[in-house]
Amino acid sequence: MSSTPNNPGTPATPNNDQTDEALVHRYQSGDVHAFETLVARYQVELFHFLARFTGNRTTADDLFQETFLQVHISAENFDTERRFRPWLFTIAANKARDHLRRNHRRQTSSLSAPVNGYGDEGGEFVDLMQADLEQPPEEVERREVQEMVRETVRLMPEHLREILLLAYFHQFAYKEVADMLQIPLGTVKSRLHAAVAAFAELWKQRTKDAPPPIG
Amino acid sequence: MSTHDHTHDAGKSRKPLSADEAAVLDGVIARLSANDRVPADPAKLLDVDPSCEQGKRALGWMKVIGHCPCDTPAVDLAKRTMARVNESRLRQKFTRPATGWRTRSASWTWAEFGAVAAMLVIGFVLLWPVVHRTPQDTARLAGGAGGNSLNMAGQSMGTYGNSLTSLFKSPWNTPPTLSTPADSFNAYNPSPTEPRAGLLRIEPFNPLQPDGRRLLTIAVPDAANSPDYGLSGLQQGAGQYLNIQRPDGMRLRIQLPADAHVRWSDNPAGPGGIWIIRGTFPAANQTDNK
Repeated sequence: MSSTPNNPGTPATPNNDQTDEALVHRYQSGDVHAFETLVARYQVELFHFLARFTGNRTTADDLFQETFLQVHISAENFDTERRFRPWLFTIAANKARDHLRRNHRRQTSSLSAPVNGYGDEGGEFVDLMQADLEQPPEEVERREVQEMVRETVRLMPEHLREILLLAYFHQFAYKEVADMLQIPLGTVKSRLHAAVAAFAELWKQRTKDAPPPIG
Repeated sequence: MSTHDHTHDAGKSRKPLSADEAAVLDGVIARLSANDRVPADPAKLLDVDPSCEQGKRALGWMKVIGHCPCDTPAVDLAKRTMARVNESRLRQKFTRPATGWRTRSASWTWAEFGAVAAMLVIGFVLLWPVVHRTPQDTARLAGGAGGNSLNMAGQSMGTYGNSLTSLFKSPWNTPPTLSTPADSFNAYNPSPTEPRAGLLRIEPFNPLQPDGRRLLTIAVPDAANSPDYGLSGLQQGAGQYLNIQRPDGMRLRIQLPADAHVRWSDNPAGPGGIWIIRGTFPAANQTDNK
Protein backbone atom coordinates (compact mmCIF):
# COMPACT_ATOMS: atom_id res chain seq x y z
CA MET A 1 0.00 0.00 0.00
CA SER A 2 1.19 3.46 -0.77
CA SER A 3 2.23 5.58 2.12
CA THR A 4 0.96 8.74 0.55
CA PRO A 5 -2.49 9.97 1.27
CA ASN A 6 -5.27 10.13 -1.21
CA ASN A 7 -4.67 12.57 -3.94
CA PRO A 8 -8.09 13.51 -5.22
CA GLY A 9 -8.97 16.60 -7.13
CA THR A 10 -8.99 15.08 -10.56
CA PRO A 11 -12.19 15.83 -12.39
CA ALA A 12 -14.91 13.25 -11.90
CA THR A 13 -16.07 13.89 -15.40
CA PRO A 14 -13.09 13.31 -17.61
CA ASN A 15 -14.69 14.92 -20.60
CA ASN A 16 -15.11 18.14 -18.75
CA ASP A 17 -11.71 19.78 -18.71
CA GLN A 18 -12.91 23.16 -17.59
CA THR A 19 -11.44 24.65 -14.48
CA ASP A 20 -13.45 24.97 -11.32
CA GLU A 21 -13.51 28.71 -11.66
CA ALA A 22 -14.82 28.48 -15.21
CA LEU A 23 -17.57 26.17 -14.03
CA VAL A 24 -18.53 28.61 -11.30
CA HIS A 25 -18.58 31.38 -13.87
CA ARG A 26 -20.88 29.31 -16.05
CA TYR A 27 -23.09 28.63 -13.06
CA GLN A 28 -23.25 32.33 -12.32
CA SER A 29 -24.54 32.71 -15.85
CA GLY A 30 -27.30 30.22 -15.18
CA ASP A 31 -25.77 26.94 -16.33
CA VAL A 32 -27.02 24.41 -13.81
CA HIS A 33 -25.03 21.58 -15.37
CA ALA A 34 -21.83 23.37 -14.44
CA PHE A 35 -22.81 23.07 -10.80
CA GLU A 36 -23.55 19.38 -11.25
CA THR A 37 -20.08 18.95 -12.64
CA LEU A 38 -18.58 20.67 -9.61
CA VAL A 39 -20.51 18.46 -7.22
CA ALA A 40 -19.44 15.34 -9.03
CA ARG A 41 -15.86 16.54 -9.25
CA TYR A 42 -15.52 17.04 -5.52
CA GLN A 43 -17.82 14.26 -4.39
CA VAL A 44 -15.04 11.95 -3.25
CA GLU A 45 -12.45 14.43 -2.04
CA LEU A 46 -14.76 16.65 -0.06
CA PHE A 47 -16.54 13.68 1.43
CA HIS A 48 -13.25 12.22 2.58
CA PHE A 49 -12.30 15.51 4.20
CA LEU A 50 -15.62 15.79 6.02
CA ALA A 51 -15.63 12.14 7.04
CA ARG A 52 -12.16 12.39 8.51
CA PHE A 53 -12.91 15.70 10.15
CA THR A 54 -16.15 14.64 11.80
CA GLY A 55 -15.38 10.96 12.14
CA ASN A 56 -18.90 10.12 11.08
CA ARG A 57 -20.04 9.00 7.67
CA THR A 58 -23.64 10.17 8.05
CA THR A 59 -22.56 13.55 9.31
CA ALA A 60 -20.13 13.89 6.43
CA ASP A 61 -22.96 13.10 4.05
CA ASP A 62 -25.13 15.85 5.50
CA LEU A 63 -22.33 18.37 5.66
CA PHE A 64 -21.39 17.66 2.07
CA GLN A 65 -24.86 18.64 0.98
CA GLU A 66 -24.89 21.69 3.22
CA THR A 67 -21.53 22.77 1.86
CA PHE A 68 -22.68 22.73 -1.74
CA LEU A 69 -25.93 24.33 -0.73
CA GLN A 70 -23.88 27.18 0.69
CA VAL A 71 -21.79 27.27 -2.46
CA HIS A 72 -24.99 27.59 -4.47
CA ILE A 73 -26.23 30.42 -2.26
CA SER A 74 -22.92 32.29 -2.32
CA ALA A 75 -21.95 31.49 -5.88
CA GLU A 76 -23.04 34.83 -7.27
CA ASN A 77 -20.67 36.59 -4.90
CA PHE A 78 -17.71 34.37 -5.72
CA ASP A 79 -14.85 36.14 -7.40
CA THR A 80 -13.81 33.88 -10.24
CA GLU A 81 -10.36 35.42 -10.14
CA ARG A 82 -9.82 33.48 -6.97
CA ARG A 83 -9.42 29.73 -6.68
CA PHE A 84 -12.52 27.72 -6.08
CA ARG A 85 -11.04 24.75 -4.24
CA PRO A 86 -9.78 26.61 -1.14
CA TRP A 87 -13.07 28.46 -1.00
CA LEU A 88 -14.97 25.20 -1.12
CA PHE A 89 -12.88 23.62 1.62
CA THR A 90 -13.16 26.74 3.74
CA ILE A 91 -16.92 26.47 3.60
CA ALA A 92 -16.76 22.76 4.35
CA ALA A 93 -14.39 23.27 7.27
CA ASN A 94 -16.63 25.95 8.73
CA LYS A 95 -19.65 23.71 8.38
CA ALA A 96 -17.85 20.82 10.05
CA ARG A 97 -16.53 23.03 12.83
CA ASP A 98 -19.97 24.43 13.52
CA HIS A 99 -21.40 20.94 13.57
CA LEU A 100 -18.84 19.66 16.03
CA ARG A 101 -19.40 22.60 18.32
CA ARG A 102 -23.15 22.22 18.17
CA ASN A 103 -22.88 18.59 19.13
CA HIS A 104 -20.23 19.09 21.78
CA ARG A 105 -17.96 16.75 20.04
CA ARG A 106 -14.85 18.67 20.88
CA GLN A 107 -12.26 16.89 22.81
CA THR A 108 -12.33 18.10 26.37
CA SER A 109 -9.83 15.69 27.82
CA SER A 110 -6.17 16.28 28.21
CA LEU A 111 -5.79 15.30 24.61
CA SER A 112 -6.80 18.75 23.59
CA ALA A 113 -4.28 20.31 25.90
CA PRO A 114 -1.13 21.76 24.45
CA VAL A 115 1.12 19.06 23.16
CA ASN A 116 4.08 18.36 25.40
CA GLY A 117 3.48 21.48 27.35
CA TYR A 118 3.41 23.75 24.34
CA GLY A 119 0.51 25.40 22.65
CA ASP A 120 -0.20 24.35 19.14
CA GLU A 121 1.82 27.27 17.91
CA GLY A 122 4.30 27.51 20.70
CA GLY A 123 7.76 26.16 20.88
CA GLU A 124 10.17 25.15 18.24
CA PHE A 125 9.02 22.65 15.72
CA VAL A 126 11.58 20.08 16.47
CA ASP A 127 10.65 20.20 20.13
CA LEU A 128 7.32 18.70 19.25
CA MET A 129 9.06 15.51 18.21
CA GLN A 130 10.23 14.37 21.58
CA ALA A 131 12.78 11.65 21.69
CA ASP A 132 10.72 9.63 24.10
CA LEU A 133 8.13 8.93 21.45
CA GLU A 134 8.22 5.34 20.52
CA GLN A 135 9.12 4.26 17.07
CA PRO A 136 6.22 4.45 14.65
CA PRO A 137 4.72 1.23 13.41
CA GLU A 138 6.19 0.00 10.21
CA GLU A 139 3.42 -2.34 9.26
CA VAL A 140 -0.02 -0.86 8.95
CA GLU A 141 -1.46 -3.09 6.37
CA ARG A 142 -3.77 -4.76 8.76
CA ARG A 143 -7.26 -3.38 8.74
CA GLU A 144 -7.53 -3.13 12.49
CA VAL A 145 -4.47 -0.97 12.51
CA GLN A 146 -5.97 1.26 9.87
CA GLU A 147 -9.09 1.58 11.94
CA MET A 148 -6.91 2.50 14.88
CA VAL A 149 -5.29 5.19 12.80
CA ARG A 150 -8.68 6.55 11.85
CA GLU A 151 -9.84 6.52 15.44
CA THR A 152 -6.67 8.22 16.59
CA VAL A 153 -7.10 10.94 13.99
CA ARG A 154 -10.69 11.39 15.11
CA LEU A 155 -9.56 11.85 18.71
CA MET A 156 -7.07 14.53 17.81
CA PRO A 157 -7.89 18.08 18.82
CA GLU A 158 -10.12 19.67 16.27
CA HIS A 159 -7.77 22.47 15.23
CA LEU A 160 -4.88 20.06 14.77
CA ARG A 161 -6.94 17.51 12.91
CA GLU A 162 -8.23 20.20 10.60
CA ILE A 163 -4.80 21.42 9.58
CA LEU A 164 -3.49 17.89 9.18
CA LEU A 165 -6.31 17.06 6.81
CA LEU A 166 -5.93 20.20 4.78
CA ALA A 167 -2.15 20.24 4.50
CA TYR A 168 -1.37 16.54 4.38
CA PHE A 169 -4.34 14.67 3.00
CA HIS A 170 -5.59 17.38 0.68
CA GLN A 171 -2.25 19.02 0.01
CA PHE A 172 -3.20 22.63 0.26
CA ALA A 173 -0.27 25.02 0.18
CA TYR A 174 0.68 26.66 3.44
CA LYS A 175 -0.45 30.00 2.11
CA GLU A 176 -3.80 28.59 1.16
CA VAL A 177 -4.23 26.94 4.54
CA ALA A 178 -3.30 30.19 6.24
CA ASP A 179 -5.90 32.02 4.19
CA MET A 180 -8.53 29.39 4.77
CA LEU A 181 -8.07 29.28 8.52
CA GLN A 182 -7.14 32.94 8.79
CA ILE A 183 -4.02 32.26 10.78
CA PRO A 184 -0.43 33.37 10.23
CA LEU A 185 1.70 31.37 7.86
CA GLY A 186 4.09 30.28 10.60
CA THR A 187 1.22 28.99 12.64
CA VAL A 188 0.28 26.61 9.86
CA LYS A 189 3.59 24.89 10.02
CA SER A 190 3.78 24.80 13.77
CA ARG A 191 0.27 23.40 13.99
CA LEU A 192 1.19 20.73 11.49
CA HIS A 193 4.11 19.63 13.63
CA ALA A 194 1.90 19.76 16.68
CA ALA A 195 -0.64 17.60 14.90
CA VAL A 196 1.93 14.90 14.17
CA ALA A 197 3.14 15.02 17.73
CA ALA A 198 -0.41 14.83 19.03
CA PHE A 199 -1.10 11.83 16.85
CA ALA A 200 1.99 10.09 18.13
CA GLU A 201 1.06 10.88 21.70
CA LEU A 202 -2.46 9.58 21.25
CA TRP A 203 -1.25 6.47 19.52
CA LYS A 204 1.08 5.83 22.36
CA GLN A 205 -1.70 6.15 24.89
CA ARG A 206 -4.07 3.94 22.96
CA THR A 207 -1.50 1.20 22.40
CA LYS A 208 -0.04 1.30 25.86
CA ASP A 209 -1.70 -1.98 26.77
CA ALA A 210 -1.63 -3.37 23.30
CA PRO A 211 1.31 -4.62 21.30
CA PRO A 212 2.82 -1.99 19.06
CA PRO A 213 1.73 -2.20 15.43
CA ILE A 214 5.24 -2.68 14.26
CA GLY A 215 5.34 -5.85 12.29
CA MET B 1 15.00 37.95 6.80
CA SER B 2 11.51 37.49 5.66
CA THR B 3 8.70 39.10 7.45
CA HIS B 4 6.90 35.84 8.05
CA ASP B 5 4.70 36.14 11.00
CA HIS B 6 6.01 33.67 13.50
CA THR B 7 3.64 34.89 16.09
CA HIS B 8 0.68 32.88 17.08
CA ASP B 9 -2.87 33.16 18.19
CA ALA B 10 -3.56 36.18 20.31
CA GLY B 11 -3.74 35.66 23.99
CA LYS B 12 -1.57 32.57 24.03
CA SER B 13 1.92 32.41 25.35
CA ARG B 14 4.44 31.90 22.66
CA LYS B 15 8.04 31.09 22.31
CA PRO B 16 9.61 33.10 19.51
CA LEU B 17 11.85 31.32 17.09
CA SER B 18 15.50 32.02 17.16
CA ALA B 19 17.06 33.83 14.25
CA ASP B 20 18.53 30.62 12.82
CA GLU B 21 15.27 28.76 13.14
CA ALA B 22 13.37 31.58 11.55
CA ALA B 23 15.84 31.65 8.67
CA VAL B 24 15.39 27.93 8.09
CA LEU B 25 11.63 28.25 8.28
CA ASP B 26 11.60 31.15 5.86
CA GLY B 27 13.58 29.12 3.40
CA VAL B 28 11.29 26.16 3.66
CA ILE B 29 8.14 28.20 3.37
CA ALA B 30 9.51 30.12 0.42
CA ARG B 31 10.37 26.87 -1.28
CA LEU B 32 7.00 25.32 -0.57
CA SER B 33 5.01 28.40 -1.43
CA ALA B 34 6.62 28.52 -4.82
CA ASN B 35 4.79 25.36 -5.68
CA ASP B 36 1.11 25.22 -6.21
CA ARG B 37 0.68 22.30 -3.85
CA VAL B 38 2.52 21.10 -0.83
CA PRO B 39 4.76 18.25 -1.88
CA ALA B 40 3.39 14.89 -1.00
CA ASP B 41 6.68 14.01 0.56
CA PRO B 42 6.20 14.25 4.33
CA ALA B 43 9.80 15.24 4.75
CA LYS B 44 9.23 18.35 2.71
CA LEU B 45 5.89 18.94 4.30
CA LEU B 46 7.33 18.89 7.80
CA ASP B 47 10.71 20.21 6.75
CA VAL B 48 12.61 17.65 8.73
CA ASP B 49 15.87 15.97 8.06
CA PRO B 50 15.14 12.29 7.32
CA SER B 51 18.63 11.35 8.38
CA CYS B 52 18.28 12.49 11.96
CA GLU B 53 16.52 10.46 14.59
CA GLN B 54 13.67 12.84 15.20
CA GLY B 55 13.19 13.37 11.49
CA LYS B 56 12.88 9.65 10.95
CA ARG B 57 10.29 9.37 13.64
CA ALA B 58 8.29 12.29 12.34
CA LEU B 59 8.24 10.86 8.85
CA GLY B 60 7.31 7.47 10.20
CA TRP B 61 4.33 8.90 11.99
CA MET B 62 3.30 10.81 8.92
CA LYS B 63 3.30 7.56 6.97
CA VAL B 64 1.13 5.98 9.61
CA ILE B 65 -1.30 8.88 9.48
CA GLY B 66 -1.35 8.57 5.72
CA HIS B 67 -2.93 5.16 6.08
CA CYS B 68 -6.01 6.61 7.67
CA PRO B 69 -8.81 4.91 5.77
CA CYS B 70 -11.87 6.67 4.61
CA ASP B 71 -15.29 5.50 3.55
CA THR B 72 -16.44 6.09 0.06
CA PRO B 73 -19.36 8.42 -0.35
CA ALA B 74 -22.81 7.15 -1.12
CA VAL B 75 -23.49 6.56 -4.77
CA ASP B 76 -26.38 8.99 -4.84
CA LEU B 77 -24.69 11.72 -2.80
CA ALA B 78 -24.27 14.03 -5.77
CA LYS B 79 -27.83 13.37 -6.86
CA ARG B 80 -29.25 14.17 -3.43
CA THR B 81 -27.08 17.25 -3.20
CA MET B 82 -28.35 18.54 -6.51
CA ALA B 83 -31.91 17.87 -5.39
CA ARG B 84 -31.39 20.10 -2.38
CA VAL B 85 -29.71 22.75 -4.46
CA ASN B 86 -32.55 22.73 -6.98
CA GLU B 87 -35.07 22.97 -4.18
CA SER B 88 -33.20 25.95 -2.79
CA ARG B 89 -33.01 27.51 -6.23
CA LEU B 90 -36.77 27.27 -6.65
CA ARG B 91 -37.33 28.73 -3.23
CA GLN B 92 -34.99 31.58 -4.07
CA LYS B 93 -36.80 32.18 -7.31
CA PHE B 94 -40.08 32.81 -5.54
CA THR B 95 -38.68 34.80 -2.68
CA ARG B 96 -36.32 36.95 -4.69
CA PRO B 97 -38.73 39.86 -5.21
CA ALA B 98 -39.23 40.18 -1.48
CA THR B 99 -35.57 39.89 -0.70
CA GLY B 100 -34.85 42.32 -3.49
CA TRP B 101 -36.57 45.05 -1.59
CA ARG B 102 -34.73 44.20 1.57
CA THR B 103 -31.36 43.98 -0.05
CA ARG B 104 -31.63 46.88 -2.45
CA SER B 105 -28.60 49.05 -2.77
CA ALA B 106 -28.13 51.63 -0.10
CA SER B 107 -26.96 54.17 -2.65
CA TRP B 108 -29.43 56.55 -4.24
CA THR B 109 -30.33 56.62 -7.86
CA TRP B 110 -30.16 59.90 -9.76
CA ALA B 111 -33.95 60.04 -9.83
CA GLU B 112 -34.18 59.64 -6.07
CA PHE B 113 -31.47 62.21 -5.54
CA GLY B 114 -33.22 64.67 -7.84
CA ALA B 115 -36.57 64.17 -6.14
CA VAL B 116 -35.13 64.78 -2.72
CA ALA B 117 -33.22 67.82 -3.94
CA ALA B 118 -36.39 69.24 -5.49
CA MET B 119 -38.29 68.73 -2.24
CA LEU B 120 -35.55 70.50 -0.33
CA VAL B 121 -35.59 73.45 -2.72
CA ILE B 122 -39.38 73.79 -2.53
CA GLY B 123 -39.31 73.61 1.23
CA PHE B 124 -36.58 76.22 1.35
CA VAL B 125 -38.48 78.59 -0.92
CA LEU B 126 -41.62 78.23 1.17
CA LEU B 127 -39.93 78.67 4.48
CA TRP B 128 -37.54 81.46 3.50
CA PRO B 129 -39.96 84.37 3.99
CA VAL B 130 -41.06 83.02 7.33
CA VAL B 131 -37.63 82.33 8.61
CA HIS B 132 -36.24 85.68 7.43
CA ARG B 133 -39.19 87.84 8.40
CA THR B 134 -38.09 91.22 9.71
CA PRO B 135 -38.52 92.06 13.35
CA GLN B 136 -41.13 94.61 12.35
CA ASP B 137 -43.12 91.92 10.62
CA THR B 138 -42.82 89.75 13.65
CA ALA B 139 -44.05 92.54 15.89
CA ARG B 140 -46.94 93.26 13.58
CA LEU B 141 -47.90 89.65 13.51
CA ALA B 142 -47.69 89.48 17.25
CA GLY B 143 -49.91 92.55 17.53
CA GLY B 144 -52.46 91.13 15.16
CA ALA B 145 -52.55 87.77 16.78
CA GLY B 146 -54.48 88.93 19.77
CA GLY B 147 -54.78 91.57 22.40
CA ASN B 148 -54.90 94.36 19.87
CA SER B 149 -58.32 95.85 20.24
CA LEU B 150 -57.83 98.34 17.43
CA ASN B 151 -56.93 95.56 15.05
CA MET B 152 -59.90 93.54 16.14
CA ALA B 153 -62.18 96.52 15.74
CA GLY B 154 -60.93 97.09 12.23
CA GLN B 155 -61.43 93.51 11.31
CA SER B 156 -64.93 93.57 12.70
CA MET B 157 -65.77 96.62 10.68
CA GLY B 158 -64.46 95.00 7.54
CA THR B 159 -66.47 91.89 8.17
CA TYR B 160 -69.52 93.97 8.83
CA GLY B 161 -69.27 95.77 5.51
CA ASN B 162 -68.72 92.60 3.57
CA SER B 163 -71.71 90.95 5.15
CA LEU B 164 -73.86 93.97 4.47
CA THR B 165 -73.05 93.88 0.80
CA SER B 166 -74.12 90.28 0.58
CA LEU B 167 -77.54 91.13 1.91
CA PHE B 168 -78.72 92.92 -1.14
CA LYS B 169 -79.59 91.07 -4.22
CA SER B 170 -78.49 92.33 -7.53
CA PRO B 171 -80.05 94.11 -9.38
CA TRP B 172 -82.20 95.49 -6.56
CA ASN B 173 -79.54 97.42 -4.89
CA THR B 174 -81.21 100.64 -5.87
CA PRO B 175 -83.57 100.90 -4.26
CA PRO B 176 -82.37 98.16 -2.02
CA THR B 177 -84.58 95.29 -1.16
CA LEU B 178 -83.83 93.74 2.15
CA SER B 179 -83.48 90.03 1.80
CA THR B 180 -85.75 88.13 4.07
CA PRO B 181 -86.64 84.52 4.37
CA ALA B 182 -89.54 85.24 2.12
CA ASP B 183 -87.16 85.38 -0.78
CA SER B 184 -87.01 81.66 -0.77
CA PHE B 185 -90.81 81.54 -0.43
CA ASN B 186 -90.41 79.28 2.53
CA ALA B 187 -90.54 80.97 5.81
CA TYR B 188 -89.70 77.82 7.67
CA ASN B 189 -86.48 77.28 5.79
CA PRO B 190 -84.72 80.60 5.71
CA SER B 191 -82.07 81.09 3.12
CA PRO B 192 -78.48 81.65 4.12
CA THR B 193 -78.92 85.28 3.27
CA GLU B 194 -81.42 85.73 6.02
CA PRO B 195 -80.86 89.14 7.47
CA ARG B 196 -80.07 89.80 10.98
CA ALA B 197 -81.59 92.57 12.88
CA GLY B 198 -78.28 94.20 13.39
CA LEU B 199 -77.72 94.40 9.68
CA LEU B 200 -80.53 96.80 8.96
CA ARG B 201 -78.13 99.65 8.74
CA ILE B 202 -78.64 100.21 5.06
CA GLU B 203 -78.31 103.87 4.67
CA PRO B 204 -75.25 103.79 2.40
CA PHE B 205 -77.26 101.90 -0.18
CA ASN B 206 -80.59 103.59 0.02
CA PRO B 207 -81.39 106.52 -2.15
CA LEU B 208 -81.24 109.69 -0.22
CA GLN B 209 -84.47 111.58 -0.20
CA PRO B 210 -84.57 115.38 -0.44
CA ASP B 211 -85.61 115.62 3.15
CA GLY B 212 -82.58 113.74 4.29
CA ARG B 213 -84.34 110.47 4.72
CA ARG B 214 -83.78 107.21 2.97
CA LEU B 215 -86.21 104.94 1.26
CA LEU B 216 -86.52 101.40 2.48
CA THR B 217 -88.46 98.62 0.96
CA ILE B 218 -88.99 95.58 3.11
CA ALA B 219 -90.36 92.38 1.75
CA VAL B 220 -91.90 90.18 4.38
CA PRO B 221 -93.77 86.96 3.94
CA ASP B 222 -97.44 86.77 3.78
CA ALA B 223 -98.66 86.58 7.31
CA ALA B 224 -101.57 84.44 6.26
CA ASN B 225 -99.32 81.85 4.61
CA SER B 226 -96.65 82.08 7.24
CA PRO B 227 -98.43 82.27 10.54
CA ASP B 228 -95.20 82.12 12.48
CA TYR B 229 -93.88 85.04 10.63
CA GLY B 230 -96.02 87.83 11.79
CA LEU B 231 -96.07 91.52 11.59
CA SER B 232 -97.10 93.65 14.44
CA GLY B 233 -96.89 97.11 15.81
CA LEU B 234 -97.45 98.78 12.51
CA GLN B 235 -99.52 101.80 13.20
CA GLN B 236 -99.75 105.28 11.93
CA GLY B 237 -98.20 107.86 14.09
CA ALA B 238 -94.99 108.83 15.67
CA GLY B 239 -92.84 106.46 17.69
CA GLN B 240 -94.25 103.44 16.05
CA TYR B 241 -92.42 100.29 15.60
CA LEU B 242 -92.48 97.77 12.86
CA ASN B 243 -92.01 94.38 14.44
CA ILE B 244 -91.27 91.35 12.36
CA GLN B 245 -91.44 88.13 14.27
CA ARG B 246 -89.36 85.36 12.82
CA PRO B 247 -89.90 81.65 13.44
CA ASP B 248 -86.56 81.33 15.13
CA GLY B 249 -87.57 83.80 17.78
CA MET B 250 -85.71 86.74 16.36
CA ARG B 251 -87.77 89.84 16.23
CA LEU B 252 -86.87 92.78 14.13
CA ARG B 253 -88.07 96.05 15.47
CA ILE B 254 -87.82 99.06 13.36
CA GLN B 255 -88.62 102.34 14.87
CA LEU B 256 -90.62 104.41 12.48
CA PRO B 257 -90.36 108.14 12.41
CA ALA B 258 -93.39 110.14 13.03
CA ASP B 259 -93.67 111.19 9.46
CA ALA B 260 -92.95 107.81 8.03
CA HIS B 261 -95.02 106.83 5.15
CA VAL B 262 -95.71 103.23 5.67
CA ARG B 263 -98.19 101.26 3.80
CA TRP B 264 -99.01 97.74 2.99
CA SER B 265 -98.82 96.84 -0.56
CA ASP B 266 -102.22 96.48 -1.99
CA ASN B 267 -101.24 93.72 -4.22
CA PRO B 268 -98.86 91.22 -2.66
CA ALA B 269 -95.99 90.44 -5.03
CA GLY B 270 -94.65 87.01 -5.70
CA PRO B 271 -96.18 83.63 -5.38
CA GLY B 272 -95.76 83.62 -1.65
CA GLY B 273 -97.85 86.70 -1.19
CA ILE B 274 -95.12 89.07 -0.25
CA TRP B 275 -96.19 92.15 1.53
CA ILE B 276 -94.27 95.16 0.50
CA ILE B 277 -93.78 97.79 3.13
CA ARG B 278 -92.55 101.01 1.78
CA GLY B 279 -91.56 103.98 3.75
CA THR B 280 -88.85 106.36 4.53
CA PHE B 281 -86.95 105.98 7.71
CA PRO B 282 -84.23 107.85 9.36
CA ALA B 283 -81.04 105.94 9.40
CA ALA B 284 -79.78 103.96 12.34
CA ASN B 285 -82.98 103.71 14.17
CA GLN B 286 -83.48 100.04 13.74
CA THR B 287 -82.89 97.79 16.66
CA ASP B 288 -83.44 94.23 17.33
CA ASN B 289 -84.78 92.38 20.25
CA LYS B 290 -84.86 88.79 20.94
